[in-house]
Amino acid sequence: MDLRRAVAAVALLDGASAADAVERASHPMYTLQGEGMRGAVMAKLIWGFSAVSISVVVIIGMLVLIGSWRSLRTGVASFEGTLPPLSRGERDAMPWIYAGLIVTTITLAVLAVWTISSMVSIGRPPKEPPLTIEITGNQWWWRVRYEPQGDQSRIFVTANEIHIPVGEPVRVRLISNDVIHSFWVPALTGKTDLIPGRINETWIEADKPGVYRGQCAEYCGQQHAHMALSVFADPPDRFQAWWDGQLRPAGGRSYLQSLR
Amino acid sequence: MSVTTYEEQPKVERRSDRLAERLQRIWETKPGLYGWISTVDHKQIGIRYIVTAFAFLVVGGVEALIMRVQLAQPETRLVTPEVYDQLFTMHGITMIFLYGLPILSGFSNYLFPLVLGSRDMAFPRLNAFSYWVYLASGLFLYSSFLTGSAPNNGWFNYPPYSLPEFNPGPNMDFYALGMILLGISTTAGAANFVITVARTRAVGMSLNRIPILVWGTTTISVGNLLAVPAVSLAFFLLWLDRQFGTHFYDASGGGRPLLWQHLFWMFAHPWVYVIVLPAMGMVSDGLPIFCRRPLVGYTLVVLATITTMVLGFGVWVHHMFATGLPYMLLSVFSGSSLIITVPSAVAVFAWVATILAGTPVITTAFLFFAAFVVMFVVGGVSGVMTASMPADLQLHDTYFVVAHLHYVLIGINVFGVLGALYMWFPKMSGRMLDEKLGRWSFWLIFIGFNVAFLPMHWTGLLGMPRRVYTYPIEAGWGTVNLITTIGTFVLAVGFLMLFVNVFVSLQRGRIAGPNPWDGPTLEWATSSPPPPYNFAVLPVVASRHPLWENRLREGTGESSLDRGIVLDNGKEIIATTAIDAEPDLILKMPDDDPSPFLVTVFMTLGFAGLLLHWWWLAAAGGLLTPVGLIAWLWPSAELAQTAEGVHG
Ligand code: HEM
Ligand SMILES: [Cu+2]
Repeated sequence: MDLRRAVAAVALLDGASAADAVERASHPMYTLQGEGMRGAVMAKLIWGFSAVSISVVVIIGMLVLIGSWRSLRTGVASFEGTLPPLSRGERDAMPWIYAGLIVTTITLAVLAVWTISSMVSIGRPPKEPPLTIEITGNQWWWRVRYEPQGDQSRIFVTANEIHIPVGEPVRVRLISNDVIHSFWVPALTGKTDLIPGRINETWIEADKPGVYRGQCAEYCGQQHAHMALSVFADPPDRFQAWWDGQLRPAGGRSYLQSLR
Repeated sequence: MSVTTYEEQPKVERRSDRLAERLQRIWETKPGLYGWISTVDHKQIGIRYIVTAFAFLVVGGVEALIMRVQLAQPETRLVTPEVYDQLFTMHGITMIFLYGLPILSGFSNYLFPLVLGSRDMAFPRLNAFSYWVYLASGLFLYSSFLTGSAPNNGWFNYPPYSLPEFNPGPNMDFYALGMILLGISTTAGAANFVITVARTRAVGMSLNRIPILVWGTTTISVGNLLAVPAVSLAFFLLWLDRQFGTHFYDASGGGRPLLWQHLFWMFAHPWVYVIVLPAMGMVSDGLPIFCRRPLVGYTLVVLATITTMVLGFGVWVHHMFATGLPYMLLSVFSGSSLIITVPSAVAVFAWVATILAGTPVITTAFLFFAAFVVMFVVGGVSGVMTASMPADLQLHDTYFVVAHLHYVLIGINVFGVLGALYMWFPKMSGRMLDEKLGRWSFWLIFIGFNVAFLPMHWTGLLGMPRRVYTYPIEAGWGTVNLITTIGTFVLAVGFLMLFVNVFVSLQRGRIAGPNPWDGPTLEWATSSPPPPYNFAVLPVVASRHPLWENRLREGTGESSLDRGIVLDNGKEIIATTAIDAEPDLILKMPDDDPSPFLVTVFMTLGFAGLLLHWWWLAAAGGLLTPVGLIAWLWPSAELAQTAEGVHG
């Protein structure tokens, strides 16, 4: 409940439309509205593919209905009556298959091109990310380690909450401590797995400040359902302030301490 | 060394009562327990497959209902996480392995010799064996519930979670050993289908006259012969990792968790085509009967079937888009996964054209087939969406995929099977299913299914991951889940009605006669139910539709159904050549034999020994199995084959 209000408040503050804010608040894991470049590209693909899919289902559904409807009208509908005679005429029906084949192939070709070009556009961040976050999957929590370029003294660790600056790509390095997990924050990016013995990388970028919910997406044991995380995207100055706060020596609250 | 040549010139005669009586005596299964255990009649075995597979469907369905009650509302506490995990895992295993293929094997077993104009499968005892092993592996897997340790890692069972460090109980051992056992059954069955089609078709049934169901099952059987070894190996390595500390999948010992994923999906993706292509075949054969015309585009549909299977081996990485494999590889597999839609589209348009260019008779079977076409398309387009790699990064492992896979499996497998049941039940039992009750059950199943699973796409787009035992209120998934649960119960009532229909009609259904739907293929040329020998004289076919050819004037000559080869010197069938189906040899068929059953029992005991670490039992099973096999394969003069062919 708290989270919901926080999301709505932050989004409204930054001038997002009220409708968007409400959508994200009542469905924090909604996939069809990206708030960062990767999420947006994926959402656009799903919208487009859905439109094609629904049209195909409607067209084929209509054809099947029309075909069946004709006999309902002509009164051979019930089996109890006599069976209508057999007929042939393979030739005149074949064009259906050829036409279907051509339309399908062209549609798929277009979708394939769109897919590949989307893959290219989300493959690499638009610029070299200044910040790398290393996320380690554990049954059933996320360890998050912040690694700025260069300065070792500013490294620190949190759990289950990730803070990032708005408008900047952030590199995410994914490793696992036990079994396979999957990092997923629908508004920002699709899934990348955390696999023992392997280092995976992805990147995220948030366009707007906000709190984005994520959840483990690879079955990882009994509390898989509760392996959630939140990404707090703050304007760069607020992000810096938060970071400085994290580095304050004991007495200040580190996230890990406040959780335990 | 002397060579004995057996020669026999078969008679060609008309069908007669005296002949029928004689054949009945030769082919009949003996009464009593002995006959029950040792029968090799493909019709009995087929029905056993069907009944057993439906039983597993019911069990898997009950598991699903429990899950749906648990998920109907957020934060429900009906079952513990541990129980939920076992439920969804066993539901998946049951539906995919213990229902999905066996139900189709059942129909194929029952129908193959009938539509091929023969008297049994090529290897009747192997056929009995594959059924018994299937049953044994199902019981083996389900015995895990007795100890409360059913498999609990999803049907794809990824390590490391399936390794002892995280999963110390016997749960995964049940799965690993059970799957190796089931693989033996699948392989035996597949080999039998392939040889049966290659060598025991009716004289004159050249490749272009084979019903599509036969094409479907044969294609997937070849696929299985290639795919099953991969998964048996994968499970065997897993078992070694678990029992003997090898490190095939264990990253801490230098193994690779992803190796499992490759081996598993290399098998499991083809498998999803395996459990739909024969169903598509049944629809391709059944739909035309109710549209009163031949299937439009027979040749294209056959080619599409084969192409789908071949391409099915080249798309497995689309289950691994999120694993961080190289981008180049992923884009290739994304492309191939889109392309595999093309042959499916051919099949869809062939069915649509058949409906449009025919005169549909709206029976319950037709309703299931027509619904099948539309459901196929729904499952197909959502499949296309997940084939697009960037889209799949969102859709993967969400309820969108759960919706997709149920449209594919229920839409393509279950709807096809139920249509086939309405169509072939009269052949199997001699009685018609009730049409009125049939319609009620169809509409309840159709509406219930769509109410349950269409909104589930939306659940996925709202971001609900699969395999979660519950979810928080704030996630906003409550309403859609409630709708799904309501639909599920409507669906269940539809199924209940179907089973009532079956039981009532078995007693009181209208008598069917040999060909109640005026079907074109050979199974409709014999009585319902068929006699143990199927055909008194072996038919000679001259067209794709022997029973329609006079009316369709296909112009390829006339099939001969009443006059044909008489084989009545013991159990005999005719072997024909692989391509043109010219008569080639007379095959002596084995009598009822308990050894397949005994071998199964020995083997299963051996597997139980491995599971329980009772090594003496494993050793005993391992020793007795070959003894049983020797008894089975002991040469018998009655089975000596004719060396010379049937010429002229
Ligand atoms: C009676 C109707 C059915 C209902 C209500 C139903 C419901 C479900 C549910 C609730 C899940 C678990 C989702 C999760 O927790 O991730 C599931 C998974 C699954 N179902 Fe069904 N199901 C039905 C029929 C079928 C049929 C007929 C098949 C196959 C022929 C099937 C195949 C599967 C598979 C393969 C899974 C995935 C299991 C896994 O995640 O490991 N289901 N189903
Ligand atoms: Cu996890």
